[in-house]
Amino acid sequence: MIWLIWRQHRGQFGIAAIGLVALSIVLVVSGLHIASVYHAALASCAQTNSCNNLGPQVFAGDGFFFDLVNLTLAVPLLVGMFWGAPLVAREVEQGTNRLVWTQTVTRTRWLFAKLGCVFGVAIIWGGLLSLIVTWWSGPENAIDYTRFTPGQFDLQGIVPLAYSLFAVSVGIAAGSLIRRTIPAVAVTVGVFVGIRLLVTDFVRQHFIPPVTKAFPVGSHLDLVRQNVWTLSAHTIVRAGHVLSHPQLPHACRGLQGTARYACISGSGLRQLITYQPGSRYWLFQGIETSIFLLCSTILVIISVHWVVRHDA
Amino acid sequence: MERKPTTETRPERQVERGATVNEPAVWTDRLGKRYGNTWALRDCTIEVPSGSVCALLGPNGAGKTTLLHLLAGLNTPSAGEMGVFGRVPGGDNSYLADIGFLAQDAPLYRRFSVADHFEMGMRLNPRYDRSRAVDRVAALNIPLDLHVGHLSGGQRSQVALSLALAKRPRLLLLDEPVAALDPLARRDFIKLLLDAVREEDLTVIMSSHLVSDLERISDYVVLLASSQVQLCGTVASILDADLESEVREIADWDRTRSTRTKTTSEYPPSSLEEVVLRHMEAAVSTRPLVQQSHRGER
Repeated sequence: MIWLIWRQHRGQFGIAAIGLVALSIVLVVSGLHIASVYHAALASCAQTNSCNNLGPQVFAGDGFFFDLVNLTLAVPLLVGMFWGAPLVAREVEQGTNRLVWTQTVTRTRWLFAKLGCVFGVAIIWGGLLSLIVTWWSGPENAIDYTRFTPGQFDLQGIVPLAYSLFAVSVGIAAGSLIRRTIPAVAVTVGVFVGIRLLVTDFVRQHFIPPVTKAFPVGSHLDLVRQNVWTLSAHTIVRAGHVLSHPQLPHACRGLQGTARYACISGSGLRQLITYQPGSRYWLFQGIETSIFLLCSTILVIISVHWVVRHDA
Repeated sequence: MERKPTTETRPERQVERGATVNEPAVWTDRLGKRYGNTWALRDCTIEVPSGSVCALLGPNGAGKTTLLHLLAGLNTPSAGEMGVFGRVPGGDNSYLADIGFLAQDAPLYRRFSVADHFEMGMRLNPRYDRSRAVDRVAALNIPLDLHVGHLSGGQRSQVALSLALAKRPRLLLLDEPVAALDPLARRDFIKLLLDAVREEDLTVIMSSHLVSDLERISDYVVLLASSQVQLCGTVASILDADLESEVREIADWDRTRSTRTKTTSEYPPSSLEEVVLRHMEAAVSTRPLVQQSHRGER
């Protein structure tokens, strides 16, 4: 079986390997560059005590690499489209399922061998890429404190691996049930993107009830430095009444910096911030990973049942 | 599915080659396959003796492919039972090892070379005879290192047949193997098949919608039409039975028209093709009735 899978997919293996190596080289080289610039900037700003806003200085000219890293969000989808969806569908489409399923190999064994191979690819691609991107994002995490925010959260840690496995499972299930490659690819894109958006935008913030606290105006930055995920921020007066159009109190106009913030706080204005504390980052990574792994498992079970029980 | 012991329910029978067998290589009993609300095959009861070359005939859509897929263990029946060499067809290894299947249009992996296919057969089957397959293909001047996507239709079929034969199956199932071939390729394919049948202990069931394809080589006939079995038996017995009924029919007709009654010898025997066509016609003309009765049962 392993020989057959290798012979059948060696072209795909080659493309996947070349793609991964090329992407890794670009990210490692640019990551090393950004890290060295970052450490140099840290060293120089420490002397002048101006380390608050390093972003523009460190990341100047790196827009391409940021775009590239953001694009790796789509990598799980590519694995699902090109490895998952055709796995069963292409065999059925070309009739070769009737060839291979009448060799002396049970359909179950054939399918499990294929699943092992495609999940292996998903794990290697998803895992390695996620490792590199997490490392690459180190300076960005340290400067912008954004690793918990949607977009960054989805690129780092262990969730990309779960997304890859999920995308592949969606592809396999779609291909097994629809039995035609192109429609299966289309469904894979729709389902994967749909579920990902649903979880990112509507479900993730409710994994654990968020914290809502009133903070003095201007202290938001201290909170941000704790790597929180800010869900909402409102300006309120001391009684708790939310201002829809907060205005700077007259008395505070013309003041600058900390004096201004002190004046605003003194006038009774507060910021009501709803957020997920940064300490929950790995818990949220774990919950999100579990959700997508559970979905993958269910899809794989459905696919196996369908392929083994269903007529050729 | 629990199966009745066939030796009790199936009486001994004499097959044409003179061998007495207790159990046919293949039997089906009221076998049926339904896709949605349509019966692709219905009440199919046949027996194919061991060692025979059976022609599975019928018009397009008659259920030939369905029956072959059921026997190949690719599909599961919706009704009835079947047995192949005393086993229930299915997807288990011991069954799969005994059958060779050549699906319609001879599907092969387009990007594989001929040799790759034999390598695959070698790795996926326990008693694979690769050298024989290589010899067969070499004898046909088909280059081993050529990708099958570059082969002609006839060569593809021959490679697919060699692949199936090298598995050393006891039952070889061929689905419309020559339908897409030109006359020359058809002749070569039949020769390859007949050589294999002569050399090995092989039972063959091959389907076609053209009787002339199989008339010369088959000694047993199953005719499907309108999803049901219209004829099942040795070629000789079918021709004999037909001749008798035809003589009776014409004699009846003659009796009403003339005073003179002809004897059997005065009518030329029908060819198998004529007989089959007549039965197909009869099946098709009664089809609306058959479908109505199906609807009534549901």
